Amino acid sequence: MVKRTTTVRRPRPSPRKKPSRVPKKSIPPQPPATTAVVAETAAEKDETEIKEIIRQIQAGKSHLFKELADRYRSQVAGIAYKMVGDYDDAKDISQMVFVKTFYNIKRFDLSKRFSTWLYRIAVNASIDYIRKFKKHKFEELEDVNEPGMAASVTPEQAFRLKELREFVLQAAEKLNEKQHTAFVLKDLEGMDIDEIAQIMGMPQATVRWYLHRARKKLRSDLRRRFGPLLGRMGIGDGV
Amino acid sequence: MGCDGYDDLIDRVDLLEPTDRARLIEHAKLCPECRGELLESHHLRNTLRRAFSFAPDAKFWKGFYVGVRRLMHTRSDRAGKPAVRRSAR
Repeated sequence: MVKRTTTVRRPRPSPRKKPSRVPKKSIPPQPPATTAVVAETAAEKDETEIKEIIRQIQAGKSHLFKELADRYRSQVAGIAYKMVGDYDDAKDISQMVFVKTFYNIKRFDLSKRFSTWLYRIAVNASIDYIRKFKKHKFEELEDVNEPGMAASVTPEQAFRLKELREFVLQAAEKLNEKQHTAFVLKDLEGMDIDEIAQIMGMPQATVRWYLHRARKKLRSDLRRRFGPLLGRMGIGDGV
Repeated sequence: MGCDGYDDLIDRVDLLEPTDRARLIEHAKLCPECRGELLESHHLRNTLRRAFSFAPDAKFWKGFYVGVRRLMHTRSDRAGKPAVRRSAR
């Protein structure tokens, strides 16, 4: 019995014992996890995963490239579509984008954001495509059944949206390439100015200037032709 | 169309510094013309996004990677070198 008491009182040499001697100073209370912190962590985790896939591709595991392309093909095709306004052309461009990406991925700097680098390739490929074919191809306005059109849109609204799309594509030919890109990425794609500046490789103030010039050029034409229609048809709301 | 000094700001309300933006919004509360233009500008931007919404179906993606591979082969054929050697550089 005496022996047992002695054993219990003997201090344990375990490393866990040390912090318990100064509990108030060594163990600060943990801050509560907020939604923003969780979202940021998820985005960081996603970016880390992507970087890991790229690292492996750069090391020779080229079969992982499809996994990378699967994650980004919708965004790339979306940008191409907004630049050229045609689903088939967008498909061709996005395929070319992934070919270029595949051949250049060894040169990708892992300290940079992959999506920015990829979207820049997508924008440049779209510009090259437009230059190559000079002008946009204009489809027959009777064919209004675009795959992306919501079911809630009436045939008349669908026709007007298609007409607006064609009109914007024609009007965009008045813009230079930088104005056009800034307009597409901001007003059609909805990106932040910061991200657009990185994609276009220029200061945010310059992007704002190009965007302002683009809007100014398009504004009067768009308002004159479509402004009164928007309120009357109710196609401006609910997006 | 709009008021002097403000109508130029309406089309870039989303690009303005917070103080300029607040100044424009305060003005629009008092000026029906500028308020109308701000709303129209907002409608137009929403409609543009809607007109260019991109939602491809499965048919769109069918054969996507076949096309990518075909382009890769075309590219490597043009260079007269196999794709493997080019990617290994």
